Amino acid sequence: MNAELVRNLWLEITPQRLIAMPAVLGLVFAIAHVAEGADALRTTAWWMGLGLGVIWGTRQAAGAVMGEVAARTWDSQRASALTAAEMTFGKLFGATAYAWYGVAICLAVFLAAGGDVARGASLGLRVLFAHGVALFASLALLALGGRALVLTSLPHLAGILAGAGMDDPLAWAVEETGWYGLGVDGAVFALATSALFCGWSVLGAWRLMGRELTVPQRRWAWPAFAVFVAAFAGGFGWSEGAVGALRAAFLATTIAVAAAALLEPKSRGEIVRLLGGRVGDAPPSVQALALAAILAVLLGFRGVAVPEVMGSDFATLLPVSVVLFLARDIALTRLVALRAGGVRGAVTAIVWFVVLYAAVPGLLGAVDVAVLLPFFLPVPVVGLGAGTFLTLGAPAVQAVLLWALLAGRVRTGRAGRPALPTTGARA
Amino acid sequence: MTAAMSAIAVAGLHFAYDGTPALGGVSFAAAPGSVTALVGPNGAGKTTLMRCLAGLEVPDAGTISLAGIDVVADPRAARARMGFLQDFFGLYDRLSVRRCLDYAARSRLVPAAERPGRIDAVAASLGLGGLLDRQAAALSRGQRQRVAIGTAIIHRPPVLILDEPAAGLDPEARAELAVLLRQLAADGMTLLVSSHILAELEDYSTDVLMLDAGQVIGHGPLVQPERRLALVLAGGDGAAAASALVVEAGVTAVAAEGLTVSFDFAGNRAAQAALLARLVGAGWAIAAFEERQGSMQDLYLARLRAARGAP
Repeated sequence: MNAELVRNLWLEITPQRLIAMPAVLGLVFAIAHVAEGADALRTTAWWMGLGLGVIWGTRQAAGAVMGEVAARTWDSQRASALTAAEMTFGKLFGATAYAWYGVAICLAVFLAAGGDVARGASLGLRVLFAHGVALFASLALLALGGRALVLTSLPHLAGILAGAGMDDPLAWAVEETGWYGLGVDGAVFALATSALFCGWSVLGAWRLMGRELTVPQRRWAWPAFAVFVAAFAGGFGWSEGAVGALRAAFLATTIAVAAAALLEPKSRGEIVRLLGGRVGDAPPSVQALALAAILAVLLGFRGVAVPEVMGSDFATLLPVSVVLFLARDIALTRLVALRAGGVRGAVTAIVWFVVLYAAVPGLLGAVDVAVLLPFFLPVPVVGLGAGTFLTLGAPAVQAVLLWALLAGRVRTGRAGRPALPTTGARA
Repeated sequence: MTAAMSAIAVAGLHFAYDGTPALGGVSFAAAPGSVTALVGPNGAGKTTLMRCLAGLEVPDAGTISLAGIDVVADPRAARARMGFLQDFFGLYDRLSVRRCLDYAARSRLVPAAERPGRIDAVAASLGLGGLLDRQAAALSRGQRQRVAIGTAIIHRPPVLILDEPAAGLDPEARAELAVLLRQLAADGMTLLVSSHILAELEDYSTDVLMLDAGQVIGHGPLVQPERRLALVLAGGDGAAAASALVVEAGVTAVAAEGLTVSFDFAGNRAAQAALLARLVGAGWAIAAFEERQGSMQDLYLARLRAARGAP
């Protein structure tokens, strides 16, 4: 049996706790039933399950790794012979075992009180998704350099948001837009989507766990996820045809690029190898940027050819401009990370982006020099003209300059640091 | 010694913490059953080297082989053949000592049927027999250290890596640790042990590996073909005695300081006894005759000065 799961069960499941959970829940359900009747019992059971699973269980999932780091047991675990899958599942279901025990009781009461099976399944998926996202986020923060126990609160929050449930908005969106014109029932779509994203969160946690355990692994998961997100989002734009799908896919991909740029671990060696032509070692943000660039080209150049058909800012060179700004931003986050790595670097980069994308353009607008806006924002242009040069040229020049600066910094090192070896390197 | 013959084989190891080099081309090998003392000043790269060996850090370049397994290519297999205890370690305070050891055995692939026996054997060898059902949180510092060592050796790894294992231990516990490490080496385990307390390392080490600024500045067996001896005269002329000693077989590097004459002697104990008898027989007023061993600390400091170009 999975050693990590067993260890967590030793800690989480004790005879006293096994008795305490049903006793407390039984009391709550009894009060609800006596006071409000069977309907209230069903509702109470569902919400209690959600609270136990998403709020408490997610806290456990978020602390499953961070707690080990704080207790100085994490390196000992990393030095064990457990596989990444054993460690992931052991923590995901072990650290949250007691919360799941409570959720199971709540679900049983919910169904016994006449609750809808699909709604019960939705609750289970929400809880699992919340736990998966919390564990994934904690590992992502760890990879970013976060070691403080207080950082447990960030993955906890991410998990709670994930578990807050997207069922109703998803059902509404799919019924409004059709999804690739498939005419799927909203509730079924929401349930299937939840299951898919649960799978992705667990897969992501497993891959990051492999990184923590320094297991050599092929880098297919992130590109696959980026393509999945683009394809998934594209379905919601399908009501406007293929270009609508491309547009939605492009938007989703740009969000993936930005999130990856901020949250991915930033090593000099990775950039040195990328600049050395080892494209397979490209960081996640650059991989997602490549996908965004493909979508931008498909959107942008088709837009130039037939702008009247597209009838939107997106049917212009705007997407290409966005890609160039994103390329600049990736270099900027890396440059910031050279000075202040980890979470502090990510926060510093966000401050930079607020200044560049909001404060300065706002100031330029206020003093009526909007002509300079293309240096700070992707500005829509239709067709080929003088504005095209500025819209594409301004971010392109910035991207080239920042990447050149980054290349110089990582190759020569700062403050007299010697360059990294570039041969035989393994990541 | 070839990599295939070595329990630990490291070649051209480079590691940098985000651009700051910590190891710059470290290479060494340790024979099976050897105890290698890893020494060096703070920041020399000792802990980084150990973390690379344990597969906790991926080197930028170079190869590491433990018990014939490539640590970078197959870290899981390497970890199953290696025990690692770092200087700052934690225990699962809410678990009993028995369960701490049980978890370590499970997570290091000890078969289920062997686990109870291994736990009892390790507990007996570490003096934990009476503590097995006590919570880890209730243990003293020395007891916790012993439990931690137990978790590192319960799977009987061919290679054991210990980073400052004696830190925080009282003198009695340190002596017990030295006995344990000698026993593990005698059982065939290969040990790599770092410590700032060189006199202790000297007690049980067979080899020494010296690091400074991420570079190996010395590596080899701790053998002393020549011993430094000294005689203290009750009276007479030390310088004249020194001149007379030079002609004796096996005697070199004679130096006199007052009535004390020190020299290197290449002979065995019987030759040493014969020399003393000759000198007494020749009428030398010898008040004391003592052996002054060159310590690992002397060797370490000499190498460190040489590496840094200091006189």
